[in-house]
Amino acid sequence: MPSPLVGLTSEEVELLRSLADAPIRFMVVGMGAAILQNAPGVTQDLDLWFARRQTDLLTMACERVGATYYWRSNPPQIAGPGIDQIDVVWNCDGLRDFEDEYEDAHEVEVVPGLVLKVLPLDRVLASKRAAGRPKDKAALPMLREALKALKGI
Amino acid sequence: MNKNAVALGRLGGLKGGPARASALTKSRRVAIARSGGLARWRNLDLRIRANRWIRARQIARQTGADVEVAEQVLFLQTIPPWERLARGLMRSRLGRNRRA
Repeated sequence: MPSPLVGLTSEEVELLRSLADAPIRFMVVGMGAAILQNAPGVTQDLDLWFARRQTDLLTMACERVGATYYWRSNPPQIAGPGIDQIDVVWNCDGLRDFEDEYEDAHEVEVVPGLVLKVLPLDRVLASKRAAGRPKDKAALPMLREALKALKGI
Repeated sequence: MNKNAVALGRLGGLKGGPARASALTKSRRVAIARSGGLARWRNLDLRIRANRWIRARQIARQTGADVEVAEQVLFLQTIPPWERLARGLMRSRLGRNRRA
């Protein structure tokens, strides 16, 4: 049972644990990654960037917690009861290959006892800058200021 | 006030406090103690916040960062990452998660 202070549902937490237990390479990206690293932002969901060619493992990890991995949709989706804040990402604008970013990713305890790889804040800023959607542009000043402040701490 | 006279009076022990306490009902004593405790905690919270703003201004001067963002970053550093996520996820903030 997750702590009441965890923003994810218990099903989402179980899904993350299942993904972390399986030999699946993924990391938290987007605004969720920025928030985990002290940026004062808000987001609608937690974006997970997966390495390619892990469809079978992903399907198994999802089925273990009663969820489904829709790999045929574009972008692919993970769905299931109580799971609607987790998004699958295959490509991130403005970033290097998955493997290169994965190597430099930070490790953060996303829920108590569960440590996941998280894209560093400066890379989140780079991806938001490259994505260029209105909501990404709106977040840029905050991310820039948070990065500056964190360098001074 | 003459300090020596006050010290001389104190030799007889505390009078006013115990007399007031004995004249009050238990529930009233509890209420007074509670309000005192709350006031002390409020002051502590204010001090912590004031110190955070002072530190945020220093960081802003050093790095050129926005002072309000620096203060928020400093606050977020004091809570665990999962709590940061809970604060940042909109649905969780709006209380829409069934079991969040």
